[in-house]
Amino acid sequence: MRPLSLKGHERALTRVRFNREGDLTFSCAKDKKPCVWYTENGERIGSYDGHNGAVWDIDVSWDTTKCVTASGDLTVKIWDAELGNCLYTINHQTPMKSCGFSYSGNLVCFTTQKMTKNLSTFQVRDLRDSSQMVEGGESFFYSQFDVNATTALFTQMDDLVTIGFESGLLQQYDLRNPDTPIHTNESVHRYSVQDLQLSPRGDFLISASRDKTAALLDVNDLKKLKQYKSERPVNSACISPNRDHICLGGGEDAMQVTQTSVSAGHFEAKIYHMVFEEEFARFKGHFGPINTMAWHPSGTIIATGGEDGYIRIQEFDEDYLGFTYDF
Amino acid sequence: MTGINAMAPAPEVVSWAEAVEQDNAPHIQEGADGTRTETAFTEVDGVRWKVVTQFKVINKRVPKVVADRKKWVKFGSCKGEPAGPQVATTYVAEEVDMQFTRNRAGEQILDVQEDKQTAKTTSREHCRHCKGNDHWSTHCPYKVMYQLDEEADADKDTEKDRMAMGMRPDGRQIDRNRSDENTCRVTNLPQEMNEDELRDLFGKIGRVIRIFIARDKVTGLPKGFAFVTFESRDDAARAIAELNDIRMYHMVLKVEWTRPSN
Repeated sequence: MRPLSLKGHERALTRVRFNREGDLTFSCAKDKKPCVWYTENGERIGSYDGHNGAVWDIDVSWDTTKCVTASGDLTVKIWDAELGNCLYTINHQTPMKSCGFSYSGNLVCFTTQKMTKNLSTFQVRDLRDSSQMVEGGESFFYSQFDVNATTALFTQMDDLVTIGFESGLLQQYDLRNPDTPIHTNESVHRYSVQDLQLSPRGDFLISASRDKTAALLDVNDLKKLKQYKSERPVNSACISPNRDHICLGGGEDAMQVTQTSVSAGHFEAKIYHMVFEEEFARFKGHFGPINTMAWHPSGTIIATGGEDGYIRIQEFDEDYLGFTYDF
Repeated sequence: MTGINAMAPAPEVVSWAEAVEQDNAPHIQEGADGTRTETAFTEVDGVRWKVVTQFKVINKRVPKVVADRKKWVKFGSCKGEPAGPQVATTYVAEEVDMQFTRNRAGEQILDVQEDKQTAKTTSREHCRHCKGNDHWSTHCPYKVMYQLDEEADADKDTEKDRMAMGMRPDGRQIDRNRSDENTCRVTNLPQEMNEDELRDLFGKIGRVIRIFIARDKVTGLPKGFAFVTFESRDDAARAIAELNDIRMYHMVLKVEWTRPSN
């Protein structure tokens, strides 16, 4: 594997994503500038300037015309992906933690953090309704939680959303019936859910948690199907689009490393078999924990973002492409 | 290089000026596998540079939307940058090998290491005897075996101490024999005489190894006799011959052979 190493961020990465065709890579970090890159040669096209704090999440619409960023400066911004202009700004009283587009690209969901008297919230806004996209606009879906919502994701068209919480709880809401969650799973994880990613065909969810496991979930009822155990907190997990493989990335936080008796390390990305729940391969590269990762739609590339501020685009070689899992 | 080689046997070179001119012309060569090597010359601040670029042209079918996105204009921090990757943001990192923990035969390769790590991480109990992490020392199932081992170790230590002290029977006997053979007894010793004076007196005869003045256990006063050990028996004999009956202070010394105690 001859990886590309992209240095466009000054601080730790928080999210990398591919667009639908996989030719662009979107990344954001704890500095203020989300970036967009060509996946093929690692060329940076531009940065979206305007945020005033750490950018926690970025998402791109299906047609790669818009992208949305959630930031610690209490705003969610929607950008023109091609020109880098800010189209809309959504304000709130507390930092924004995650954001995502719906399947059609018309709805934007985001979660806000719990802070002093403000509860953690999950909101959805419609980009087509101009009254929702102005300063002081109201979301058409609004839900409050006592515990921090860490990640949110549209899991079925424009109707169902799944929210992961700091306590390990997972909840699924139907936007057409906003009162109560339609599915709840509180036993899948014991600690914070760090990442939720959908499989490319939309039939599975994978959740990564700080309890050193990642779980494969049924997208329709949040039932746990498989569990993948690691030796380190899992910060991100992704599913291969064309093979039964799972990739986990994680590692101890920098501030925790000196407090553990075990030597530091284990910053590799690990590849597991989806069905047999066993690790069969690993590759290293980052000097520090892996904070986020995404699998390319072609199945031959994985992008990882690390605590060291680098994005690595790893293209698999023949060893992996020719590998068959013997059981 | 190929051009230079081709030029060497060329008969039409008639002057050095023409040859130099040909060498300075930019040209392109094509390799067998489709790679192209482009050679160009540039002059910066009066210094001529030869720039060799090697690349490969690949035609790839992509969806139209992907082809359209290839024409995006740079914005933000990259405003005004030319097309192509920039060295400030993009570079090819070192080769990374993917490690397979299960080879094609399905064997687990890294299992032992991982198990150790896991045990270390999770267990707080530690056994001194078998170094395991799943129980305390008092509950060790192999305690009896390890205790026997410990007793054997203790015996070894004791033996070591004996050897270190030099308490072997052979060594002791040899030392005692030598000491008794070369020792003479001094009686009628004045009380005022101390060890230094005695050493001075007997040192004239030969090398003195040991001097022992007998003292009362309670009062600490000399008892009036002493033992002097010489290095060789000849010295002891000479001391007896010369120092017997000499007058020290107000007493007449009596120097004679030591009688064996056993």
